[in-house]
Amino acid sequence: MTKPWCQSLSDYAVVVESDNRRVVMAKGLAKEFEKVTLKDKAKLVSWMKIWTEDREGAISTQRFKSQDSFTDGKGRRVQIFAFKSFQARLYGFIRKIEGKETFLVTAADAAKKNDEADPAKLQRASKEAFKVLDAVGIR
Amino acid sequence: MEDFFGFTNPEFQEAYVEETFVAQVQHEIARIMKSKGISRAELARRMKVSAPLVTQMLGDEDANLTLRTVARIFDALGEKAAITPRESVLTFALETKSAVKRVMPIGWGCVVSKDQWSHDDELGRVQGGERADAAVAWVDAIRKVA
Repeated sequence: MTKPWCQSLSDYAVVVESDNRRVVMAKGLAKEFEKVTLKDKAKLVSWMKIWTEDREGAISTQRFKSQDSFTDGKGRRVQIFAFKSFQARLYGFIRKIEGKETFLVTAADAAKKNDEADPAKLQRASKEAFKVLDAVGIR
Repeated sequence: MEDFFGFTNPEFQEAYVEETFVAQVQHEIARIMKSKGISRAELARRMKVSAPLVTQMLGDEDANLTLRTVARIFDALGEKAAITPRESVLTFALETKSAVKRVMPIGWGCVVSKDQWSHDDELGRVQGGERADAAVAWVDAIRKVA
């Protein structure tokens, strides 16, 4: 029997949840996240909440945007998305976990320097994503 | 839930009250634009303003997104905007034996628009949701239910 995901992912915490979707965040990102301004934090959590309730896919790409896609050696693919507010970014990926669409925040960038996403951050987000998939036991 | 965001910090709470309301308004505008197939350029044309101004209002800066411009945006989208305490929305729903199909219980604000007013299947969830002191409801929606 598969362990409940929260037991498999003790390093992650639910930050926002609705009936259909949830957002979980790696606890290890707390330090990086501290650098994010108060206003950006408020914006990010507001848009996360909207995402959990957005049944029509109307959320603007200015707020939640698809980034790069990554594969591992096992034929798995993850698409990295980002919640955005000014220069702050929260990177992660989406999987259905226990019947609920879940956005897992696996990397953060408190103050992005360029318009484009930092490739190293995206790479880190995808590496962590594959680790999570291994831990949860899903593809 | 983990308090990554600092909900226990009064300064954060103040910022959140503002930002969540602005985000809800911006999202509702985006949702209506999507459902009606209206681009930002088209919205700008209808409002007789520049496209960059619309981008500013709906972007991170939320510059010039005032009650006046929100009213004009809704008018340009063929809708009417109204602000009402959330409790009034729920009371109205109960009195008319109708309810919001979807309410976003996000902190101290919520947004309701006309196509969200149709069923009472989620009333329990709405009533059990977070208390909100203010809401944005669309007058057309109320008329529709009434």
